[in-house]
Parts: sequence; structure tokens; C-alpha cells
Amino acid sequence: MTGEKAIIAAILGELIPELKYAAPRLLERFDRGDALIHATPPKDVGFEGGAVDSVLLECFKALVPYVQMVLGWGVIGAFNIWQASKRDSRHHAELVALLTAQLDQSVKMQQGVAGLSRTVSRMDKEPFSTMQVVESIAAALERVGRPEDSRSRM
Amino acid sequence: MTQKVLIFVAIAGIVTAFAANRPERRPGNLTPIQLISALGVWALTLANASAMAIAIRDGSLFLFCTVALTLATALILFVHDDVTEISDRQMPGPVKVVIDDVRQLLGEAPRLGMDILDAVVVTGNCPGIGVSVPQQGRVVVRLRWDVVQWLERHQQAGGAGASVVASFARFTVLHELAHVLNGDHRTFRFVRSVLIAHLFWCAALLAACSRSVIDREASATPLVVATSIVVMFGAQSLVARRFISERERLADWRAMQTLDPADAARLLERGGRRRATTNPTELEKLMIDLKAQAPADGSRGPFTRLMLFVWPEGDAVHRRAEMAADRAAGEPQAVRWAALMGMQSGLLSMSLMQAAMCASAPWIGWGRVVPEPVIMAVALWISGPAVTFCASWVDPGRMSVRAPQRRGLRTLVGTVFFCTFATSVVVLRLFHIHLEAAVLPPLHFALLLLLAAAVVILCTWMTGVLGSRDGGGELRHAPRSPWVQMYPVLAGLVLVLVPLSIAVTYWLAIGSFRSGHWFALSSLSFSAFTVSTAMARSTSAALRVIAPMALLDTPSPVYGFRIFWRDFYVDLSRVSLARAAAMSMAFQVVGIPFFVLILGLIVQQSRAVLSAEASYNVMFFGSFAAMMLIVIIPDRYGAFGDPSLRLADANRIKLFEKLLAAIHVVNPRTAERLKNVLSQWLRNDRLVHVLLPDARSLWMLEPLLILVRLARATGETALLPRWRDPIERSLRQVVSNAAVAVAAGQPPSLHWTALAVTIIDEMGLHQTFPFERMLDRIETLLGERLTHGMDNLVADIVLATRLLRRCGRTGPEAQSIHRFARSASIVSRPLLRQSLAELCELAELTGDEEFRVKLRPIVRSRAWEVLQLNPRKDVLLLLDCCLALARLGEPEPHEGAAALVVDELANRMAGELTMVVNR
Repeated sequence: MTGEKAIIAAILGELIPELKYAAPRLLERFDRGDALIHATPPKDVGFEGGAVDSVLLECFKALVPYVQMVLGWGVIGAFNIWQASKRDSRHHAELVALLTAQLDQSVKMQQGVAGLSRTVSRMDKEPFSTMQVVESIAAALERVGRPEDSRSRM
Repeated sequence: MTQKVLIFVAIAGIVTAFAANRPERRPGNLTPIQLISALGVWALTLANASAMAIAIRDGSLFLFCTVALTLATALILFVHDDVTEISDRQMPGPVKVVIDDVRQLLGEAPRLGMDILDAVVVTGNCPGIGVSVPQQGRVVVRLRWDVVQWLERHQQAGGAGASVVASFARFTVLHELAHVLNGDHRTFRFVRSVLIAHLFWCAALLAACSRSVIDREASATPLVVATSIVVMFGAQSLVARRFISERERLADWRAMQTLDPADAARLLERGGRRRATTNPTELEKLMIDLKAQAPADGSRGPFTRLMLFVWPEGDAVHRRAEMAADRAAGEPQAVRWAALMGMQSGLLSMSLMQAAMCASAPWIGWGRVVPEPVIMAVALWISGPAVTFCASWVDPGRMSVRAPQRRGLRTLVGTVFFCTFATSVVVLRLFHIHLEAAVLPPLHFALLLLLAAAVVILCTWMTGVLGSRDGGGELRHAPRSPWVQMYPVLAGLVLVLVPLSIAVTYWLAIGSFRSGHWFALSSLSFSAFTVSTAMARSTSAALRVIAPMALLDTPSPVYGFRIFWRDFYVDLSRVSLARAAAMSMAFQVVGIPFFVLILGLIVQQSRAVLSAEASYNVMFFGSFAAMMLIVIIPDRYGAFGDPSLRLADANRIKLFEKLLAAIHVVNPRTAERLKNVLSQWLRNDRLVHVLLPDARSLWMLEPLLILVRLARATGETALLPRWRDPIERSLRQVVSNAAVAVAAGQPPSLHWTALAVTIIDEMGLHQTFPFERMLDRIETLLGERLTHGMDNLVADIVLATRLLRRCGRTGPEAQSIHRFARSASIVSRPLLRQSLAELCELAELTGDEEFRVKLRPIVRSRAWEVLQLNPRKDVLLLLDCCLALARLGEPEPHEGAAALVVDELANRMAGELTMVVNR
């Protein structure tokens, strides 16, 4: 999976916490045009029985274009600046500030973030502000930028 | 002739194949939902057998092909295994660790029915993590090769992390073992293959409908047959939908309650961006990822959609993950189970009878009635066990002090069972009437319902009397009381009562085998025997004198029998099990013929004035009337009338003592709460009076001692002076010659004497009894017991040793106690249900460090075993493990899981007890 794809999957995983680990695989299937998860009748006694909520999967599909949009209009740039300055400061707040600055400058990014906010609000059935979207994107970028974090949990 | 042979071979073949291929492989406790599904599918299979017979009779190629296709497809689906090969790929570390842990816990003993536990990596289109039981006792956990990669990926950066993966692996392996313990491996494939194959009948119904519209002259039989089978299939599909989600829920619950709390906490940790609503758990995220791991190949065809309709995916992952967090789930839903079980039993009964009538039709004629014994057998052998199973799950599934008897719920269970049974047999009969092949006439149908009602009433009542206190599994009682109490009775009923009743029926010319008089005579004799036993146990002296034969009211380790007004006793701590079982069997051999012969002679005399049918009815209904006498015979349990006093029964009071001791170790705050409410309960003035022993109820010594100890443990010492006089008077009745005998005129018993002397000691009654002489007797009896007694009972030895040590006596030589303890049965046979806390105490009392070391793995394994089974039902076993762990003082990996259950039980019991006390 390319770096950009990994970032998209991480953002999607952050916006839909249930799909945190499944997002990369689902994104690959989405790009190929395959069904995300097929419902199959269980063939034998096994562990992975159970249905994945279709609302989550529909939301995933709806979010992908918006995430791609915000990525193309400023997020990658902000991420690169943050990555470059990471020796001096690696604070979450700094990344959020960079992203907010990009958001103020780019109308396209504003449209993308608004789309994400709308879709997630519909899924959660509660308001999800654009600022929260930015926070979530920042959290996802941080996770991608710091793989040692997950290693430290081992 | 060809038709006769074809029909017989078809039905016999289907029934035999179905019986032979039943996946009857231990281990496994069949949980209700499994049994409910299996009963329905057996009914469907038998309905196909009848359809085959009708097809041969009518020469209907249409019906014949449908049955053949259905059965062939079911067979292929049943035997087909999706695993293509066992890979040589190495098992991932986390799974290897958990498999090794479980193997160690099994301790090379067939615990939970598992002899061998293996794990293999497989390839094929099988479940990612699955389980199989290739032969009895061998359990194999199977990991699909891509799941191995998936686990490894999650251990790396960007994944869930090594510790979460290890916890997840532990949870999944325990989940798979839980499937085996729930009996899923038995029923899953069977139910799935039969149900999916029945899609042919849906197509057949459509075809039959179209045909009847096009050709109005065509026979209606195929349409009626297809409709009746599709109606049954529809009902079974609905049950299966429930079954699929229920089995996963039960397996998750069983796994979660065995899981170490640290592992559970890791899996149930919530994380995500949400603030107002809840974030998903790690478990849910991993489960979704595992689900996404499975290849999403190709598009879904209409057949897959149809299969999904019959055999859906089950609960949503989110729901499963949320429910797994509830450790106290799995509450028995007795009424719903009874409703489903009643429906399935009705369907099976009618299908079995229809198959029997179809099979015999070429000889006795189509539409002719099956013999009455078949109807009786069906009513007895299907409804009886089914309703007993339902009712026995009501009572001890969860320990409750609020409604100790649960009589109301049992009655409701029986009623609901019968209502759904009756509804399903009535609906099926309506179809059978249209088949003109095999239908019960109204009189026989009424007889079936009547017999079923009688069986339901009898079994519901018997469940209350006998109860079921263990949590299932493979553990056997020690001392092996069933060999003295239950098995001789059952053997007597089968080997003596039934053959003798048949012989006496012919000998005295009361009736014939077909007339069923032997059955009525058996019922009447059994009722008379039961009533005689109840009379011998009564508090009324007059009734006690009348009873000629009886099983006396003497629980373990002493068993008493009355033969022709003479009482005999067997002390299991003194005689061998074989001898005790032989004596018990001898009693049955004498007792049963006594009632059969006398009642047979009475019936013979009555035949002078009564017709055969009238005498049958008098005997049959008389047996129920006689049984009802038990309700009015006074017994000592009548004194336990008030809800608060009913809690003083021997088992429950023992539970209070052990629970209080265990909760002190686990959670002192809950202990304080339980202590306070027990203090209030103990202040009931009548409590001590219902527990006073007398010569006929020496076993009351044990609950009385516990009561005294509870008073001390809860700080209610002010009660003891008030109890002193009645206890002293009561003990005077049972102590003679400085000991307590097994019964009047019998040798002294170490068990009863040690109990009596401990009560005397704890109550400070040393001056009023020859205390020192009694201690001398105990020393002598203990010495004899260690030399000659049986080794699977240690309670009396622990009690006597503890007493002697407390009174400053050394007792018998420590070496002889060491030898005895090491030869205790549980050390060599780990599957005995024997108290480990007592053995640990014995090792502690005698300072036997080597034995304590030997006991450690045994205790750890038992604690794991009891958690795997049903710790909320088998509470005493769980508490015993907790207390044994505390005595050994070892940090125990499963202690945490057990501690959580004990805490939950103590909290609930304290709450319910408060309600009873404040009522």
C-alpha cells in the first residue's frame, strides 16, 4: 500500500473507529470496485461469524471521495511540513494548527471537510464539527507518522 | 411385495443412517438451543422418511425425487469438509502459548472430556478460526493459513500490538473450546446440511402448486406432503436463525468468563474519536478486521442469497462484542426454551408416529392405527426427557435465594411446554388427515395428549424433588453416592419392575402385553414404593410404623434402607462401594417384587367385578392418585415454611458458609455487606429449631454446625447463649456411649461423632457431655478409619483432625494421615468431584509440604475446569477452588476470573437475601 493510501486508510479508520484495522483492506477492495465485505452463510463452527453493520460500510464508501479530496487539497502538504519539523516539535496541536491554516486557505479542502463532517454526523446521529474532522485527520496523520508508537505497545 | 420391501427399506434406511451418523462425540454438554435445533431436524428427517413411503405407495416420481434429492444433498453437505489440507506452516506464537497453557491445565487428564488438544494450520475455504472433534476426546483448533498472516501482521507496527493479539488469540481459542463444550460441533453441520437441503421442498411446493392449478384432476397428495414439510421447514428455519446467533453468544460468554481479567480488559478497552457516544472495543475492531480478512470473492449469486435466508450470518459483530463484555450473561431463559422444546417434541412425536405407521402400513394397511405401546413410548421417551431437561435448567442455573424452591417457574415451564407440544401435534395432525396414509384417530390422539400431559406433570414434579446441582461436564461424585442411591433404583426399575410386571400380568391373568396392563401395574407399584418411602421419612410416628419398605432419609455418607419394617444402614466411609451398591441393589430386588405381587393380587381380585379396561384405568390413574398422597404426608421440611427459613436447607447453608469465607479472600467490602445481611437472617429465632438433629435425622448435625460457625463469623455471638439449651437437648438425644452411632443400634460413626463433638466444643458445652471421653472415641475411630476406611471421603478425617489439634491432641501418627491423604482418590483420578479445600487443609494441619506442592496443579486445573463449565450453577465447586487456592497461597493466573464470579455471586446473594430478610 502506498503512503497516500495508508494515510487515507488511517483517516477513514479514525473517522469510523470500528474499521480502524480493517480500513486498509476495505480501501483496496473499494478501489478495485469489489464488495467491501460479503455476507456468507457460515460453513462450520468458527470464530468469525457475525455481520458487519452495513451503515458503517456505506459510510466508508461515502467518506472515501471526501478524504481523497482533502488529501489532494492541502493535507499532504501540512503533513510534510509537520514531518519535516518533527525534530523540533511533534505536538498534536502543531499539526492541528497547520491543518487549520490549510483549511482556511483552500475552498476545496473546506468542501471536503464539510462533506466528511456531514457524513460522519449522519452515521453517528449527532453533530460532528469541521474542527473535530480536522482533529481526527491530525490524529490519523500522527499515527501514520509515528509507527514506533504502535511498536512501543508490543 | 416389492412395495412392502421398498417402503420398509426406505424408512429403516433413513432412520438407521440418521441414528448412526449422529455426531455423538464427546466432549460436550448439549445446551438447550442445540437440543432444540436437533429435535426439529430429526423431525424433518422422519417426515422425509414418511414422504418417501407415500411416494412409493402412490408411485409418485415427483415426491420420490424430491425426497431423494433432499436427503442426498443433506448427506453431501454433512460429510463435505472445506479443509483441503493441513499446512506444515508453524503455528503463530500467541496461539501456541495458549494451546500449551490449556494442555498444562488439562494435566493429562480427560478434563471436560478432552483427552488431546491440538492446533493446526489449514488451507481451504473453511472458517478462519475453527474447531473439529475428529475422534472422541480429541479436539483440534484449526487456523486458516491467511489468519496466521493476519495475526503476524497485527503483532507488527501499525497493528493492534502484541499484547492485544495475545489476548485475542486466547479469547478465540477459548471461544472454540466453548463451542465444543456447548455441543455445537455435534449439531452445527447436521442442522445446517438438513435445512439447506430442504430448499428442494420449497421448489417442490411451488411446482406442486403450479401443477394443481394447471391440472385440477391431479392428486393433491404431493401438494399436501410438500406443504406439511415446508411448514415444518419454515419453523425450523426460524429456530435456526436464533440458534446461529445464540451459539456464538454462548461461546463468547463462556470464553470471556474463563479469560484472565487482564486479557479481558485489553480486549474491552474502548478507543476512538467519539465523545458523546461509546467507542468500539478492541475486540470489535479486531473481529471486523478478521471478517474483512476473508476473501470477498466474486458476486453473490441467488443461491447464496437463498442460503443466507435459511442459514444467516448470526448476530452483528457490534452486538456480539458488546455482549461479550457482560460476564454475567447466559441467564437461563427457561420459559422460552420450554416453548421451543415443546414445539419440537410435538413435531418429533408426530413425525415418529407417522413414520412408524407408514413403515407398518403395507402389513397392517394404510391409515391403520399404531399399537398403543408405540404411542406410550413416544409420549414417555420424547416428552419426559425434554420437559425434565427444561425444568432442571430452571432451578440451579443461577443461584437465587429470593425464590429457593422456584416451584412457580417450574410449573410455568411445564405448562408452556405442554401447550406448545399440543399446538404442534394438532397442527401436524391436520396435515396428516389430508394424507390418508397415517393419521391417529381422535381417541388415540387424545390418549397421546393425555399421556404427554401426565408425563409432563410427573417429570416437572420429579425435577423439583431430584434437582440438578452440578454444572455439567465430566466430574463424578465422591463418595460415589449415585452407585448407592440412584443407579440401583434405575436398574431395579428397568431390570426388575418392568419384566416382573409383565410376568405377573400373564401369571395372574390380569391382561396381556398389548393390553398395557403391565405398564399400569408398574406405575402403580412405583407409586406405592414412593409413598412407602415418604411415609418412612415422615414426622408422624404412625405413618413411620406402617411403611414396610423404604429408602430412608440418610444423605451421604450413610445410606439407610427399610426391608419389612427393619432398618439397615450402610456407612460408605466403612464399607467398599461395591458392597454398598450390592446391598442397595439387593434392597431393590426384594422391595419391588413385594409391591408388584401384592398389587397384582389385588388387581386380580378386582377383575371379578371390573372389566379389563376399567381395571387398567383404575391402576393407571390410581398410580397418579397414590403419588399425590406424598403432598399430604407430613415431613420435617414442613417446618421450613417461611421463605426465610427455607434458606436453611443443607446445601444453601453450606453455600453461605463457603461464600462468606471465599468473599473474605476476594473482596472485603462485599464480605462486609454479606456479613451484615447474614447477621440479620441469623436473628430469626426459629432458625435453630428447624436445624436440630434427632435420631432419625443425624445429618442435621452438619447444617447445625455451620449455623453455629456462621454466627461466629458474622459476629452474632450473642445468639449462642440463646441457642445453647435447645442444642444441648437435641444432642442428648443422639449422643450415647460418648459417640454418635450411624443409627439406633448401629456402630458409632466418625463423621457424626466428629460433627457432634465440634458443636459441643464451639457451643462451650464441655461440662454437660463427657467431652474428653468423646475425644478418645474420635481418636480411636480416626485410627480405624485411616487403616480400613475408603479413600474418596476425607471430610470426616479433616473434621476429626482439626478438632483433635484444636483440643491439644496429636491424634493418630502424622505419617498415617500423610499416607491416607496421598492415596485420596482425587490425586490419582482428577475427575472426581471431591473437596480440594479439605485436602489442602489436611496437608496444612499435618504440615505435609510435599503434598501441598502436589495439590497445586490439581487445584489450578480444577479452577479452570469449573470456570469453563457453569460456575454460577456449580457454585460450591467454584467456592471450593477459591478456598483451596487461598489455602495454598499461590498466585494463580485464573484466580482473577474466579474472583470476579465469586464477587458477583456474593453481591447478588446479599441483595436477594436483604429482600427476603426485610420481607
